[in-house]
Amino acid sequence: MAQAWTRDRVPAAGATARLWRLRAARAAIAVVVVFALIGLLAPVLARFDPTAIGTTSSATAPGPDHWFGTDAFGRDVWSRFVHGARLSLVIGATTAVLAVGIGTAVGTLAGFVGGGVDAVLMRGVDAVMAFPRLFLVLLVVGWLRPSIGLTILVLALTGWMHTARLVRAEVRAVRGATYVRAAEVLGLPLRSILVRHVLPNALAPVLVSASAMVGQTILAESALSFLGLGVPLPTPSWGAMVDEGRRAFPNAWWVSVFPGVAITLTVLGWNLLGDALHDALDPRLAAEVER
Amino acid sequence: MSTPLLEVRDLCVEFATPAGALRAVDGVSFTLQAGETLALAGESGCGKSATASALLRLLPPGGRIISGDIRFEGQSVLALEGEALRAFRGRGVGLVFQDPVGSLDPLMTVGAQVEEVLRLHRRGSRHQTRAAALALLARVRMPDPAGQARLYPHQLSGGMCQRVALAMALACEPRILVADEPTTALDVTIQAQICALLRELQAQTGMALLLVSHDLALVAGMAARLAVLYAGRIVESGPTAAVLASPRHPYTRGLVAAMPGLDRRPGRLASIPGTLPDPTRLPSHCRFHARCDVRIERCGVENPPSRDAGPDRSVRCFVDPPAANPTPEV
Repeated sequence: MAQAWTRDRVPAAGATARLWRLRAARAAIAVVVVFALIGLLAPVLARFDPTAIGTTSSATAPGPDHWFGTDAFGRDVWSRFVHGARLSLVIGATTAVLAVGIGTAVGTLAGFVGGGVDAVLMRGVDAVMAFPRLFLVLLVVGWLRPSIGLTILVLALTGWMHTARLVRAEVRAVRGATYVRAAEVLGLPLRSILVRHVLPNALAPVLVSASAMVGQTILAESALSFLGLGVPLPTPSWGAMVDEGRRAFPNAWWVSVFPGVAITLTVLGWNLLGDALHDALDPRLAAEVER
Repeated sequence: MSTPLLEVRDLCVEFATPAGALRAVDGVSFTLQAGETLALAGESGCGKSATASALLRLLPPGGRIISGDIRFEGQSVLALEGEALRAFRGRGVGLVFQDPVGSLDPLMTVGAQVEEVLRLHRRGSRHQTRAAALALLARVRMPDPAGQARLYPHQLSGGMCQRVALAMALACEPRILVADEPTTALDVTIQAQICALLRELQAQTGMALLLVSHDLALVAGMAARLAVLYAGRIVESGPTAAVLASPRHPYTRGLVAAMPGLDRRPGRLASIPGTLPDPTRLPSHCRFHARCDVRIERCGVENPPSRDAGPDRSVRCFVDPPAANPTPEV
């Protein structure tokens, strides 16, 4: 460590250590990691084919054979649950990466260049934001066949505006900071000012936003699938499972409750992770955390 | 006389505002020789910081140099573009800001920031660059440079951050250092240390210092020559000691009278009544007219041109100083 200071750009090592010191972060990381593992290992963890109908009689309560019971079609809820985790993870992460990518690009361009470019881009953001997400989904699903790819695309294209605004505000603030002027005075090239000083200082809220967006996307996908507008049946999705269980509720409560709790926990986990990242990434805030 | 290191001629700077063009700097001229210290003094809004920013071609958005010329070593700075402009900013002129903590990147250790500037101007292995950075930090009198280099700006005091900022400016070996209120954000003992450091570095490197300040006590201790700005114009200039001992312009007299001193009776400090004229609607007559206690009829009609007022001195005023404050004439 003693010689490490020269390359200590974004203090990544320090941030990880600080993150671990936050109690909420540890809980959030645990939840996120557990669900990610469930998703990754879904084919191993699933004890039955998640779409196979009538493995046993329908709507049996949780027991030694079917840990989470079976649904109205006799499908194993545990198997559907773990495959649902996989789907949520894939959709949440892919959408977040896409949306944050678009948002960061648009926001950086608008904030760094400013002027007319800024005005045009941000009015575009306003226009997209004014468009109701659900209405767009209805339109697209009405025209095209629902699929995982389409769901991701629709969610990403309707989810990047918040990040764009955030990044723009952040880049503008950082661009006006004295240390950016100082870098200009010292004769640093504009590109390296942008890459080495502006972006890293605008980056923390982007990571926070990305993490929170995974949660929001999982929630949005669940809502779409609940309404039958998301991933096509019989692909196991937590939202669709909640909807299926709704008809048998409360007698066969297990069909809705397990995926419902999972949605809540995952979304909470990602949101908390976002908050914790925010605190851990800023060395100034971190000083307070350590106290 | 040989070509001055820096020559500013009739510099005019305007800012676009919703209320119209704001003339922040209006016909400012001065020269700076290698190794000398010139102070630009005046109250907030007099155009001293705008002058300093214009020198570096770094006016904030909306600001524009509308006329005049800035020559560095005989070459016009206004014509510089791209690579040449970057080289002028780094190696020609360095700038130290008023806010020392804010002028450093909060996410980078101070050692890494000094190294980044060093890498910009000279080649060398990582090891050499690090050694050079530590040497620079030692030169600005950082205690324990190797330890401090690992810290982030928020972990250092304002005075220490100002030393780092100085080290970064020095890394480029500039011929001129512009210090924009370098000690305003610091407490008095640290101010004295930074001033001593500036003088020491100046003696070592032979760089010229352009000190921008509202603090006449600081100016008196640092600068050989002084230019007093009022509403975008230099109203009086000359050797600092002479100007402060026998100010020729009523505004300078007001500033000197407003200085607290040990030999004065304690009590209320003197102040100059009134405020600066609205910079979007500057009068065509003398800008100090409304606040002046020695004005004559002519002052409300014409703008006083700059005239000689003793050795190396000039003043923009029609009225000779009152007899109570006589000046030795040549």
